Amino acid sequence: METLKVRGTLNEIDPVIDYAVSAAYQAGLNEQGLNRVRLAVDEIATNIVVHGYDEAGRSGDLSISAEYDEDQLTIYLEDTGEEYDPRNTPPPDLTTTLEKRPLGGLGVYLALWAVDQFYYEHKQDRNRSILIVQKPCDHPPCLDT
Amino acid sequence: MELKLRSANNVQILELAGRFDTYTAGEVRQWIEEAAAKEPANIVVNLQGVDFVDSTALATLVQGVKNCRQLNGDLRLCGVQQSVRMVFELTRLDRFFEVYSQETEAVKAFAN
Repeated sequence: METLKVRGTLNEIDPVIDYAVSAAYQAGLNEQGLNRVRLAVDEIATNIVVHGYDEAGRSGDLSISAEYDEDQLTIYLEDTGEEYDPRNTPPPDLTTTLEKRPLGGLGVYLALWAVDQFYYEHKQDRNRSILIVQKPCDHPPCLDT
Repeated sequence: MELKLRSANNVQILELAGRFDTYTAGEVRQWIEEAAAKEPANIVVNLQGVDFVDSTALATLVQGVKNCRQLNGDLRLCGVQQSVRMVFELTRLDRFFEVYSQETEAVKAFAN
């Protein structure tokens, strides 16, 4: 799919999510797959804007592109914000009481849960997050094994 | 996202529809903060029309329930769709909220 580039602001995340949902639909993912893609792209894109740009005092673009085949959908999110690999985010403590529960820290956890594979690259001042969601082999069992 | 406000039996009700995410959470947060500042801080958030929540939406609701309980009130949920329920369960926030299938049940429960 043709790349979509927007400014890296919260106001412009919606088209990025719409792009991801459209890609998931075109790739033939089921409803659960669509929801997972939407959640992952929402969280990673929000992280890029909030932490990579706003909190770092930087500004720049956010671009999304996608490709798919019969097995999986791959989404690429690229930005020029602060370098950060989401996989380095400590996992949230989900066992604490409500009073001790921090308000933040769940976004990356949800994003990484939602995808089957996640990769991060930093090259030539660009961050690239690669999100892969496999197409499920729905019941009845696939016959192509 | 659409917000509809009403009250019943001294309970303030916020009905949401659409995508409850970082972009839309600000308006909800503001409403909840104002509603939770008045006693009795009893709030029902009707999520029947919400098909998507992200971590910012969750944080908004967690802050709301904390604020309400500090004033001996509560923030309860109703009409939670399966895709939204899954996010609550994944983050284990489901155990902190009373969840009802119908808005009338959620409102009625405050009387008990």
